[in-house]
Amino acid sequence: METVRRELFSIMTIGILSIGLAVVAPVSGYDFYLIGLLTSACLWVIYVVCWDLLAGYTGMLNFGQLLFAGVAAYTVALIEIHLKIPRPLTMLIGLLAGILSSLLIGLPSLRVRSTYFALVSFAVLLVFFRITLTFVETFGGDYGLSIARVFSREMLYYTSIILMAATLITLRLIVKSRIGMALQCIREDEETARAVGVNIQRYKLMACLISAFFTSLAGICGFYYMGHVGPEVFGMMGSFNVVIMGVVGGAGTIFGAALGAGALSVILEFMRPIAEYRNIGYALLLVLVVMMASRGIWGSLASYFRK
Amino acid sequence: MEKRAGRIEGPARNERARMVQTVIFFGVIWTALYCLIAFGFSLLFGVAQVLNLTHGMIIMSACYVAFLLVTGLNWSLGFSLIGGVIGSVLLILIIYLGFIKKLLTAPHTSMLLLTAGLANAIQQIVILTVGPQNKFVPTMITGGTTIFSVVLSNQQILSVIVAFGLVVLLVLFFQRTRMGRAIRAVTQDRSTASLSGINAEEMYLVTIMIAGVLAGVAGLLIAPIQTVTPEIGWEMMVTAFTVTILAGLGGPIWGVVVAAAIVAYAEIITAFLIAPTLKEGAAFVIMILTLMFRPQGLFGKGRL
Repeated sequence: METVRRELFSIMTIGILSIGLAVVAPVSGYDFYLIGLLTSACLWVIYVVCWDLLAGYTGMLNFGQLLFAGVAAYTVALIEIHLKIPRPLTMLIGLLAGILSSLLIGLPSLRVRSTYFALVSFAVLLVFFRITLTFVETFGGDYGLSIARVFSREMLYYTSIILMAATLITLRLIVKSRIGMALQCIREDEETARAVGVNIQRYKLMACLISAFFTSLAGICGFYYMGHVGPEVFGMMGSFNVVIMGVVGGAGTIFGAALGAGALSVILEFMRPIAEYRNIGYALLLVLVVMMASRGIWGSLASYFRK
Repeated sequence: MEKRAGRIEGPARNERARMVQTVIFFGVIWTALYCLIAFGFSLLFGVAQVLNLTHGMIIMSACYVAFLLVTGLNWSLGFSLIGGVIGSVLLILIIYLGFIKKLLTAPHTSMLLLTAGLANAIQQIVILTVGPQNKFVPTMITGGTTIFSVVLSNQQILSVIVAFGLVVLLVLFFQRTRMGRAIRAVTQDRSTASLSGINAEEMYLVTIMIAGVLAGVAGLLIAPIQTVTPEIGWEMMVTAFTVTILAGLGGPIWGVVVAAAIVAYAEIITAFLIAPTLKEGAAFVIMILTLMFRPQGLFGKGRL
């Protein structure tokens, strides 16, 4: 009963925050800049909590979270440009492509320790970056692919909020369920997990697919918002920012990751003019948090209040 | 008049023979360099179970230190090269003593996050100070030699000799010297090694310095034969990791050479037949296939 009440409480919190976020836009008179900022913050939150499901809960440290989003976005962009098929079908294919791309890192990592997952995720990102730059006619090279606006900004803003709320609630329920227990068991000790009867390969794959599912949806949403997707989505820095946000917020807690994503993505936006210094600062921030407070802001706060 | 498929005319046949020879010789060059990179990377991995993601960045910074000393401070090439190696050893010592050492007992995930953060910081600092543009480091020796019908620069030949020479020296060090044997003992079992009077901490330090020298030399050998960008740090990382897992941990040293050759030739053939920018793709395919079908590597013992 206690857990049910707790879950209801957290779902309500997510709902209230989302409604609050949705109200901000009309109150501000649909300010162009503010809507853009909040939309991108929502998408970052989705990316980071999806990363957290893999890294924080399952121990599969993913340095290429945006791979799924990028593959989904490029697929949708290519279909939008070259094929005339119904838009829902386009999005469905993009989603499938994003989920399939997760198998590229997921499948090779099933038989080895999760540590190797990290290195594979590095490599796959580099390869996709190269592919987009090599086949210029197909992927547009440095410029990427652009389409004309099909959905209004406001609509995509609300969509991203709903998507974020849905992701947070789903992931929260997943990590508190038996699946979440199994994932954390794998993170702590794979041998023990196997010994107590957890089907490691199945759960690892499941975590990968769930993470890729929401990340791809967010990627498609972001693509329609920007009307553009470029090779930078496969760059090291983007996915690395996801890692930093997750770790600083608190890996292994859905809300911590979401908090880190929300805060750092807004700062990311404001510090755009000094991007070089920001990147160094973020990288060093990660080092600092790993060395000093490995449980992140949320973990530190939680242990502080529990005292 | 229709042309018979499969029959190659005289000049075209020469052209093809030359291409095959080029692939073969370039394969040897990169095999040597990949050996060096993979050894440096796997040393720390073997001895201290540390996956050091900054290894590629140290190679990259050695390139840049040499570049800056030559073009910026007008040092002679010889001193610049020594400066490059010393710089990379200092860098890896700072990384080890300042950061890695403090997290040696922490979970693997923390170590990966830490070294990834440091690697990114190094890359960004290089971009900020030197700039993201391509750099060209002058060759150490000039001139070329024609072997069969392929013209190789003397620099490339020197790279092969130095790289393989270092690998041989390294093997001798680990097989013949007291300290080399002590390091191997720590690799196999740290606590038993400590019981027999080996200072594990000291061995870690020696290992890290050897890794630094290997990274530095690799960087200096790569710099003149390839354009240097801040990106190559990650490329080297992918290569080092692929060679390491393809060879397998705890396997024989010639296993690493064979693995390096497989990766080097796969990359070069891809570069020749498809596109030079996709050569990491070949390494990636090898990496995935190894992890899926032979996770212990070709010559490795035990499970990853």
